[in-house]
Amino acid sequence: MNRAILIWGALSGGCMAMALPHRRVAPREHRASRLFFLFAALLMPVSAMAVEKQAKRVLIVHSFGSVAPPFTIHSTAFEAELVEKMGERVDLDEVSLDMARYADSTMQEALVDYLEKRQAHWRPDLVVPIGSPAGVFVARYRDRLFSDTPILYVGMDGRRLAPGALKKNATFVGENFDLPGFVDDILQIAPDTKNIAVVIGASPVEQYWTQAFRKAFQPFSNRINFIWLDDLPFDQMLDRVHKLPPHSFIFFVLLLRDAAGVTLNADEALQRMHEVANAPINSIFQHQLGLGIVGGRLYQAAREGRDAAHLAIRILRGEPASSLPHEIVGSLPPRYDWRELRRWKIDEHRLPPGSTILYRTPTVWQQYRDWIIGGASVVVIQALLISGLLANLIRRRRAERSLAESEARFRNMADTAPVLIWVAGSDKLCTFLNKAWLEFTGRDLERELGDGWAEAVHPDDLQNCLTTYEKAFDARKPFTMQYRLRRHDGVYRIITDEGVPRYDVAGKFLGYIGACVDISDLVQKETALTEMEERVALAAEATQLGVWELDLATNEVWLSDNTRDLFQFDRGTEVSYSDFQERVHPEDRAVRNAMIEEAVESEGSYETEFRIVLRDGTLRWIAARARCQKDGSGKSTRLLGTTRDVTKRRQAEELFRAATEASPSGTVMLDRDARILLVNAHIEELFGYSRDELIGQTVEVLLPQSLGDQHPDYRSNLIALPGAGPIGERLELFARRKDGTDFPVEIALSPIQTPQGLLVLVSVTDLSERKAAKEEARYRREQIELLSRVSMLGEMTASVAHELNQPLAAIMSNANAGMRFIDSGKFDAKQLHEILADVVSDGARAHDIINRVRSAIKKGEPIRGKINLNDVVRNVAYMVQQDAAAHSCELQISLADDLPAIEGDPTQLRQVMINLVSNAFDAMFDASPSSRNVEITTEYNGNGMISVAVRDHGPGIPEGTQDRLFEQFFTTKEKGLGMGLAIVRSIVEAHGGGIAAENVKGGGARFSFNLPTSKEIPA
Amino acid sequence: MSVAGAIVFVIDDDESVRKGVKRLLSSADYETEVFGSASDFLARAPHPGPSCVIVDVQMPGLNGIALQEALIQRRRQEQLVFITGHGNIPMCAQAMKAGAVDFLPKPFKAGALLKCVESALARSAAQRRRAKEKQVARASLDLLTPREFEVMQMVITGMLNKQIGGELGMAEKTVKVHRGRVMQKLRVISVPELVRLVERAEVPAPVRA
Repeated sequence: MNRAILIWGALSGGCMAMALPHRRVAPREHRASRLFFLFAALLMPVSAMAVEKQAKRVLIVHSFGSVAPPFTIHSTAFEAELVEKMGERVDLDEVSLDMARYADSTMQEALVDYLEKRQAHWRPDLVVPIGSPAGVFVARYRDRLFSDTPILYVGMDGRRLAPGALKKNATFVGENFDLPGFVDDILQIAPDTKNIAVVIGASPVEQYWTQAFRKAFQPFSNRINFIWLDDLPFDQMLDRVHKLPPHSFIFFVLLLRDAAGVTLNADEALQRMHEVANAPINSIFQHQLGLGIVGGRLYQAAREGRDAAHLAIRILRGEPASSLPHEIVGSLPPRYDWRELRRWKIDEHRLPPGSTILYRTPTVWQQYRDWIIGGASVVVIQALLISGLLANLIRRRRAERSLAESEARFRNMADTAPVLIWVAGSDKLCTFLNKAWLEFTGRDLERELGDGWAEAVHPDDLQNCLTTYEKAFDARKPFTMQYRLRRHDGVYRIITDEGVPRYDVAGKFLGYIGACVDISDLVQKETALTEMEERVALAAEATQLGVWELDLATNEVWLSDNTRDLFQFDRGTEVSYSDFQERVHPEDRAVRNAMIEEAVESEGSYETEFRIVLRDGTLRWIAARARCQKDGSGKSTRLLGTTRDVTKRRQAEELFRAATEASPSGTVMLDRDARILLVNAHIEELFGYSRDELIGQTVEVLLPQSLGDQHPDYRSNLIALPGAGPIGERLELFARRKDGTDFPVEIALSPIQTPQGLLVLVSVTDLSERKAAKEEARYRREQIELLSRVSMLGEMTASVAHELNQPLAAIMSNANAGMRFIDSGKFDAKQLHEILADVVSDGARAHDIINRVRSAIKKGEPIRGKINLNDVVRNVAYMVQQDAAAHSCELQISLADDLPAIEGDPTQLRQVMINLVSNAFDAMFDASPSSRNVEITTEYNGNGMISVAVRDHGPGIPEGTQDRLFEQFFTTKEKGLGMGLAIVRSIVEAHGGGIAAENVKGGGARFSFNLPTSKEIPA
Repeated sequence: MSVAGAIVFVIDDDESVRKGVKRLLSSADYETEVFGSASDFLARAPHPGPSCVIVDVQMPGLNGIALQEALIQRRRQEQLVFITGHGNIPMCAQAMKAGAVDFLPKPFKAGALLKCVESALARSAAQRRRAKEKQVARASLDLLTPREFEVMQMVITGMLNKQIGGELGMAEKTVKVHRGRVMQKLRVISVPELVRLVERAEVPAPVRA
């Protein structure tokens, strides 16, 4: 049974883990391991027994079951790495203490009994306890269960183990947690932290750690209030972290079982906590970065697992466990989650040097396009600021209106009014001050009456105040003035004081009545507003920002000069809203109107870009932001907005997009975290994904899993050190399509420094086609080359054979002569020496000939150089002279004087000539010997072309074949291949020339080709 | 395996081939003379004894085939063995038709060349012997009167005396006398013997009317 499982496991390759019950292994499939299993499967029929016998047995002892992070981060990495790197099959089994549920000792006893019984059937070669509970358990029952078995303690703090645990045939990969360091990390990024809520469960191991942390955090207690949540059920913990006081931080240690006895998955608990917490969270392990923690020096559970696997392999291969060093893995350099930093407004400058920031989010179509355009983000920020300021402007106008109304109210509301009211008689002396006044100044009525009130006026303002009052009084005119009046708390407040003469029914002057309002706040605001207005104007000016306002009730429009310029409305003319609307491009009106409606309805804001059509018909792109403002009564609804000319940016964007789309290769843009910001259509086509599926994903989605796994590190190498790393180089690797198939690609990485940080432009070229095309082209070229060489060899055979056979004949004759002399006994040493010397020299001669031939037809890239065609003709004439003799043919050569050079490959051109001349010889096989002449002529037409003609006196070109002569595989010869003239033509054409054949009047055929002189050769 | 008075001539434009072949022949005890070109050889007086000419086909100037033609024109009957670095069939056929002993492609085996030389010299010797016998036979035939010659010619065709008499218009008895004289002059005693002698003399067959 067991064996059947093993075989099945082997056959199913990477799926082996699932074949065995209570086995849970390696989510990572790796090509190497897959290959290994495949290999094993092939061997299985003959070697199944042997393999089974040899498979090393590893028992993993889990502390908390098989899905209990962080411990299972260790075990998963351990198992995957072990299976992958072992190079042979490993028989993995695992048991779990499940300490979160069954922590009492009777349960452990039961487990020990169970394990003891198992030992009889399945004795491990290595025991790997993962996590401190498992470590403590194994150490305690070591002698009973695994007395001779090596132990590898993994994923625990070394301090948890009894001192003797590592002495006997055991080793250790784990941590030595720097407990105070976790607080240091928090204070590094949030120095004003006053509370730290410590999240930890209530299981025994967690209780141990609670104690350890309490002790370790003691030194901070004078500045930080630690809130220990270990005694709360999880839902109450959630409640607490939701309501933490300001300046709090949450430190998430471990959450395996809460105080209510509920078992939890620590990572899921962390994520839930992140959803509700009102303070930032930190934790211990690297894999939790991305689950909601801010970050710091994080410990590497997976690395511990992998390193442990390497030690396990050494132990399984026979190294004594005690001889291996104990490994403290340690924390990574600080890493942070950008999203959390942003969420909690933690300044990146606070991060310690050497920090890595991950998860920069790709809200980034904007990001990338902004840098493309340059500086646009600054404008966006300013626009936000400015629309905020505009809101203030409006409020101020309203405030002014309410001031204007105050006088009317005063008349009706006298005493109950919240304003300060005074009454003076015709003698200018004060006769009444209302309650509000007295409360304001905190003085008695008696002291204020008459001139007493003036005592509270700021001495600097008093003169002016009295002068204004008296002047107005004497003239019986209303007045308004402002002065500083001391409040009961001694603070001078700015008061606006409006006075009017009062008369009786008969019209007799009675004196004055006035009302004062504390306008300090308003003045302050006004000052601020003035400054803001100036800033708005400046910013608007600087950014070419147009400002506008629309009263939706009246459809009245107010446009700033910039807006007018932008929309080409003349300054100072009336503009109605319909004029404004008319400018908007018809196609964009509906969208814009819908956004406005929505903003009005929700009293919100909108942001859009639309086109406008100017009077002269030119198009302009406008970026607009606007906010809807209603007053409380709902009487007036206003839209306040800004507009900005983004035509250039739009055009640049269009250009960029068009350029990216038009790029002949696939283009992907990545941010620092290898998230995809942008892809072009080629990528969609190549990979089978749509843009929407890709944007925001990490680049791993485009890579085979095996590569994707190592990619994060690889990627950071790629991106971290532009210039030092492979950036800028071209890499060939495999990519994965959406359907899971892999294909070869060439990628080129180009780093782009932007205000948003480093981006990487990756261009991806599909090599599968290029490779196939290259292959095809190379194959064809080689075929032609081969055939041409073969044909040239054939043509040259006469010469070569003749030359080579000469020395060979001499050698054989000499050698035979020597043997005969020896056999007959009639020889002397001198004679033999002569013979052998001749043999040697003839041998050398043969060698020379072969070298010469080889170099003449050597394989290789065509060598182009300046050559004289006359030389080629002479050379060929020499080469074919033996052939000519054999055919009883005569060569007549007439060469033009002062032939200009051409550019070309001499070997190829020799081939052309040899082919043509050999054809000429063959053509005259039946001709009478006296007429067997071949004439070669060279001629320069003075116009950049040189022609070479070969004329024979054979029967001429058969009727009807003239057109097909140069086709491949067309031949008139009984044993011809039909390649010669095809090759000739291809060579001539490759040199920029042409070739023709014709019958000559006096009999025979003439083949002539022309080649451009070196100046005319096309580049 | 030398033949008394025989010379082997070697004509090749390639000096090392000449040397090698000459050595090979010397090792087989042949007397050898070498020439760098065909015209040099033609300039030498014909050798009276048995001879063999080993000649390269491809040579500048007069080539092997041309030499063969020249020798035939001069009615010289040297036995030719062609050697060639790269021959072709038409060339070979032409040479063999014109009476070459053999046509050996270079590099040839020593045994093959020596065998060619041996048979060439044997042919050369036999040629010379046949020429001598013909001379002798012709000299005998020259002793016959025209009438006796006529009768002899008819006798060797196997005609009876009576038939010969009828043919030549003479009596059977007279035929018998002529016949006796022929046998006596040519020193033969039987008709088959007479036939062989006439063959040796290579007398053209009588033309029948």
